Amino acid sequence: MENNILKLKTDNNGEVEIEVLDIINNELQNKDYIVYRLRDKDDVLISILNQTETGFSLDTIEDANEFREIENYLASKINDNSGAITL
Amino acid sequence: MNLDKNINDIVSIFNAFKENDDFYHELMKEAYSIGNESEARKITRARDEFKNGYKISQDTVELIKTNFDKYVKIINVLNEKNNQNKYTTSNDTYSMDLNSNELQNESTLNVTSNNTTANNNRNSSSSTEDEKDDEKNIQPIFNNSNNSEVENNIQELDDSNYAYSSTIAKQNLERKLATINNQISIIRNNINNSEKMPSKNEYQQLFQLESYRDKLTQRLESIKLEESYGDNERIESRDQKLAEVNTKIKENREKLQSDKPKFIKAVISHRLNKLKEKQGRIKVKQRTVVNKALLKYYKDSFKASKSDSHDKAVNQYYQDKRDLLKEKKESILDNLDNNKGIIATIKNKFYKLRSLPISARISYIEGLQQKEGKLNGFKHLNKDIANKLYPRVQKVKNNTRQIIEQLKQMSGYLKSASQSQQFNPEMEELINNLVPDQPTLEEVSSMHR
Repeated sequence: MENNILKLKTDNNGEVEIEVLDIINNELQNKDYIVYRLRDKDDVLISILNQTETGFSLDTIEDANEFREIENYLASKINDNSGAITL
Repeated sequence: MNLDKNINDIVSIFNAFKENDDFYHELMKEAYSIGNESEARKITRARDEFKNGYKISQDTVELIKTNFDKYVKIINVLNEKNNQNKYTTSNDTYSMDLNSNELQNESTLNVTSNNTTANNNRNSSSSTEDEKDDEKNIQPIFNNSNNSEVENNIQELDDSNYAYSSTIAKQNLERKLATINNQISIIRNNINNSEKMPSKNEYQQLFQLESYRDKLTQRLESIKLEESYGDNERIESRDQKLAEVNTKIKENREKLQSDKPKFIKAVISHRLNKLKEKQGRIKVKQRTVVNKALLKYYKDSFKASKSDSHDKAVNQYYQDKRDLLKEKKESILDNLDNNKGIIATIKNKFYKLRSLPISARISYIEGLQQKEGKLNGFKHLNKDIANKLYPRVQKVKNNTRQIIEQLKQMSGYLKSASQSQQFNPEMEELINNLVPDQPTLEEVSSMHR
């Protein structure tokens, strides 16, 4: 995954490196989401990926329903692959 | 204390703080899950004040005022839970929550968020420090690794992915439930009896155990339900089928391990390269955290995709997208054609109406009224088109209603005019203005762009 590093500037002129795991497009809402983690951290994070012609930025998903939708999508991704069933 | 709220709700919140431990645990879990320790302290203080009959502090009043509706909701949910079916083993009672989140196989799907607000005004001493601070800000509150003990317990107990005969499964579940309940009781008792404020670690354990307990209860209930039908043969045959399914699952799992989404890495690389060309900024006060199982999924996917041809995968990905867009475009064009037809028909009817005598207008209006049902169909069209067309449809509908109202008014005038053989000038103006402005052809066509 080492090739998927993206350097981002923070609001206070700091720099953060993130490891991009996935970029998801919600066609219905015409929105992109970025699934990533900080380097060497195990927690997977999701943000809204805003793109313009010249730049992009990451925003927090504020809407609980929107987050739930993405969460379900990601959970279904895992479940599709585990093939697990419950009794 | 003046809360300006329903007195029954106020009393139930007071009582909940005073007597309802579940209520307190819910509030604490929620406060910790968003990393709000200050709120957790306030909640604990409020509970102490109500429980011990201390003077209610201003902080408590503010806490209740701010969260009044939420508290009422939580109390209602808890009351509802208590009224649901209860399953009892030993001395512990717990309610069955069909809506509870199921635990994932690998670890809990423990979705938490951190709403720490970054201080934009602080002076940055060095970029490394800032980076560290930023990392701190997005540390999840319920870090799975902190509770390896609880997790191990759950892992050990969770062999749910394979089916057993229902009797063995029931025994296993009852045994697990007893263990889990025991652990929950211990933690809850510790929290209740401790004079210190409970830690977030305790609440994380409680949260995990309760979720797992709900899942087990649900499973046990479903087994019991099937048994209660007395259809043992059916259960036996189902058990047999499940055993077959399990074998298939095992085979499929092995296959899937080597057959995970093949082009994830390729597609990400492709889009990532585009992002790298642009200058990126991050402005995230609160980040969303998903679980370890997901990370494992991605790690495995990346491993699996190493040997794949990236170009091929990317091409396939975009070809799929193109096909999808083509389909969408065709469906939008179909919808547009349909809508154009409807609008043209309505326009023609209005123009015709304008040239008709009064009696003929009335019968046309009646025809239009019947059309209303058809107009409502716009709402079910493609969302974008419907959004553009709907205001126009509403306008047409309003015009129709307006005309009907005017015609009703007019019928009285016409009666009296025919008797007196003369028209009121005011009435003549009304008739001339009977048909309101219609959309021009340009307006109609612009709606489709």
